[in-house]
Amino acid sequence: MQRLVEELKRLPGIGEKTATRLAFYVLRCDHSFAADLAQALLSVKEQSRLCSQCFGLTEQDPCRICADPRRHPEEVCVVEEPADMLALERAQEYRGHYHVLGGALAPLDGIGPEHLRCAELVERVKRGGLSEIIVATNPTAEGEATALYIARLVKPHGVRVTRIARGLPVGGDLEYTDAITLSKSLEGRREM
Amino acid sequence: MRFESTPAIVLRTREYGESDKIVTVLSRAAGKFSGIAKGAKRSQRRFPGTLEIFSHVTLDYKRRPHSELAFLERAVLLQPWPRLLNTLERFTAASHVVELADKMSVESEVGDDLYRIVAATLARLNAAEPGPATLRLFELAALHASGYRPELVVCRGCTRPLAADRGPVRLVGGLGGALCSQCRAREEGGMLLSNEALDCLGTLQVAVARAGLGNGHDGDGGHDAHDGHGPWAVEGAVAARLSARAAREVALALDLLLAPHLRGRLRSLELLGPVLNDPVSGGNGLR
Ligand SMILES: [Zn+2]
Ligand SMILES: [Zn+2]
Repeated sequence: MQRLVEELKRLPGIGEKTATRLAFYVLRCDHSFAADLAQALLSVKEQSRLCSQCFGLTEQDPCRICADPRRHPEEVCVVEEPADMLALERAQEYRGHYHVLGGALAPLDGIGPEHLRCAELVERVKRGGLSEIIVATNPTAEGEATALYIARLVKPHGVRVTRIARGLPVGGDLEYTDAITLSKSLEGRREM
Repeated sequence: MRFESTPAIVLRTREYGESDKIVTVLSRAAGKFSGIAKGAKRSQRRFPGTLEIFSHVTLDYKRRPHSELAFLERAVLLQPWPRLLNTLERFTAASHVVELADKMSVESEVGDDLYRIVAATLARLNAAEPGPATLRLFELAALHASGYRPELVVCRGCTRPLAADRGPVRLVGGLGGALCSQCRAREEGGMLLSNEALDCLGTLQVAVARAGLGNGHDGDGGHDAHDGHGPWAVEGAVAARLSARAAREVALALDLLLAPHLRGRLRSLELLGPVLNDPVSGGNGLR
């Protein structure tokens, strides 16, 4: 019991109290629930990996989006995290491909360009066939700086770079932004 | 319990749990402190995008008896500096400013000197692109404010004026100053400093002292700095006659003088410097 509480406490946003409550809940449930939960936890680790093209989370490589022939591969939307990609997909507005950076520039936390998948983006650009890169990093100071960096990196290769509109609340997170706001900010994107 | 209120600059933030943020600020009334902003990721009313790095806000907060973290009630934008995000050069320079302020100060140490210097520097960076002397002025002012005014006029060994020296002098971080060409053989560490670089440092130091930044009294620094007053008035003249080599020397010299007083290494310029293409920085960032 104590071991389960300790493990649960390692999850983000879970303190001692919540962990204990969850552990008691699992204890009261029948055996099949515990088995299913354990199985789901293991398979998410074993089967999810990164798409070799866009670096989104996927169970097959290339991912469902990169493999979809109806989508436009000449448009690439750059996001910070896989969760942002899912948020944009929920908005059902965007029909191109993605590129997940794996974070944003945060020099004070020791995160510089080489810690993000920037070189991989340049590789994609160099392979050719891209008409537009839409930078959809978060509307935070770090997200804006990352957008500036991407533009500086990509523009010399002659690809159009746009930034999603600033209708998003400053300091916000794409992941938690509603679909309508996201659609609008995509529509209102501007040249960088 | 009543809330206290102070102007403050956001130095650092990190997400905490689902919707909270832990924020470290440099405030005018209470120095550096950290607090928790409950619901910060959701409440546009209490924190309307104001808990971002570099934000200059009026902060309502209260101390909590059993916690090192203050409770942050509200942050209202005091002075927007939107152009800090206009170019990578400005962002990098501003990052260096808040990082240095953070690593040079300790929590609950009161005094508004460092706050005023950081505010003035960010205002300056918002007004125009950084030049080769912009951050050096800030670094010198921060040293002055923290009581580490470097001795750049006379030799630390024999007290003879350094200006009388023909050869290079030896700057030693641990001494907080330089040794003349006669005394320098006694020391191994530090760096050799050319007359040009020493002269430049002297000019910058006079400007910092004149602006009243970091002297513990009210000068005309602070909010006037972005109007071309304050120590930045000398910036253009210094930059115009500073060779790229001397600019690098001056940057290294300040690194050396700052190092003994910092907790941890400064990373902003190191990480982003190489990607900046600002010609005034000699192709190597703002250093
Ligand atoms: Zn993919
Ligand atoms: Zn001497």
